[in-house]
Amino acid sequence: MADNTPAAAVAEFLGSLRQAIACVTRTRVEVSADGYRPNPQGRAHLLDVNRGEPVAVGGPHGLSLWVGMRYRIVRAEGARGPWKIKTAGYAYAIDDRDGHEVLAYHWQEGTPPPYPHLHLGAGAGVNALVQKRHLPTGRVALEAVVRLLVAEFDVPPLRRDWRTVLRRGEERFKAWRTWA
Amino acid sequence: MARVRQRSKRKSKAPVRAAAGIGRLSAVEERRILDRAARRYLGMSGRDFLRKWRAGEFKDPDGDPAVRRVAFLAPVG
Repeated sequence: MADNTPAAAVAEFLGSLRQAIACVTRTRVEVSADGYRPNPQGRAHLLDVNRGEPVAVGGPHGLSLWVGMRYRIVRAEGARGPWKIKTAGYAYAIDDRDGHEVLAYHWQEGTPPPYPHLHLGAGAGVNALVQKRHLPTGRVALEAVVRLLVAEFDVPPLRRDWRTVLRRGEERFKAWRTWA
Repeated sequence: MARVRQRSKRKSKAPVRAAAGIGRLSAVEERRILDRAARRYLGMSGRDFLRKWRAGEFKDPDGDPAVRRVAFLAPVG
């Protein structure tokens, strides 16, 4: 995402994510106190959903969603500038009704492995051999995980326009990402 | 004749516009979230988690969902 000021770039980035999350939950979404200040180095800002707790999303399987994102506000050249948001990490996890992790899409800069990956957890019914592995994926957008919940896991959407919201958010994600 | 209000050249002191529906965590709240997550998932305080993390006491932290989640919320990495 790019904009004329750091704050505007963050607002656009977060607004899109907020809309995606609102397709399945009305829980609070918050960022670090300094989450609108440029931070090209050092600690990445935190985007927190439900204060670090899994949030129940309803539906026949009793699933919960756990979301965390880390991001940086950096200067950018050309059409991507002068300010853009660079994702520094994401963790999108789905838990079963007993709180066991079913799956988690994960990537975080500085934390091995360096590539985006999928974890299959105890809630997926896979054995320990698989649970410990990092299954490579492409970079995953939050919108794709919300769509997975609604379209595949029968989570009831809270918005009638959820398809449009997720499609637009994912288009924006693909247009601005610098790696896949 | 109507007077046109001159735009002030002073630097605006208006707060940064936040994204709609997005709150801001104070540093204390952020530490509290970490502490609660560490206690929930690992049965230890956030401070203890950070100490153990920095000491390299978590083997394969990414392979353990509990450690992974707490680490994501922590000022590490």
